[in-house]
Amino acid sequence: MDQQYLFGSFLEENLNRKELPEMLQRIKSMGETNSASMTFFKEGESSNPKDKKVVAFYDKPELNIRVYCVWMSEKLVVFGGGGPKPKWIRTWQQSKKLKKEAEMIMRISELIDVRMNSRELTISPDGFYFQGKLELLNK
Amino acid sequence: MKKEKKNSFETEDLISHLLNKLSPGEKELINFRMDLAAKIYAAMKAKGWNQNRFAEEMGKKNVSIISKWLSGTHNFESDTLFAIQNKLGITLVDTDKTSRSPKLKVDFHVSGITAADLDKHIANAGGLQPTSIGLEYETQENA
Repeated sequence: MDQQYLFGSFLEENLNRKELPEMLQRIKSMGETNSASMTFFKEGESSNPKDKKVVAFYDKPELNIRVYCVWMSEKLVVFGGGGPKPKWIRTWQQSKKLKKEAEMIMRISELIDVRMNSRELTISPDGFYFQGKLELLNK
Repeated sequence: MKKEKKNSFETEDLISHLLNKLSPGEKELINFRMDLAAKIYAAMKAKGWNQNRFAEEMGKKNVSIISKWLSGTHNFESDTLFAIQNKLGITLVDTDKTSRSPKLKVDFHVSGITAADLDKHIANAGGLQPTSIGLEYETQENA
């Protein structure tokens, strides 16, 4: 099946950026030792103030990259796309690329809500996985 | 969630490839920062404090500094770590005094021995360690 995940595309698009290895190691640390505490993410990235799940993974102060996520719990986070975020950019609305990726993750977050409400999508009993209709967007 | 494939890398290969760019020491430092943030957050929660309350307790007017501390990316100054561990009642930095070289036990006023005896005692004890305590002694030769 020729499909690719948003996060995979994000990695490919930013393959040579120095921020990525550090960012991945932090994700690994969350998975192996520390849970995905909400404090590791920047809250309030959705234009819909009611949707608290849309967050951004923090970048280091001296680095300039942003990746958007849907934070479900300390055990389950959906990593989406993102892109370079120079410090002069304050919000995703100021960058065409970040706007596109942020809007995509917002749409995914909405779809997760819809699918979970209709029980087409559920979370596994151990809390670590989605179960059910996982393919959210078709192109 | 389909997107056009751009090259032959699969996501997992790509992640391994990128992680291999970090040295073991760099990985350890990143993990250490994450662990610090997680430990501080756990202690905050145990006290029932939110970020606003913690900022207040730490004498910080701007709560955004707490978000930075808890982000897992912050490079703490030792004074800040000291203040945080005191406030939360946890240990973040363990200076572990037992791991240092043992100090030489010194009687402040030594008499009745030769300089050679004193040298021998010092050598047997592994040499003199720098200390803020001065050593005064008399030997038979200079008594």
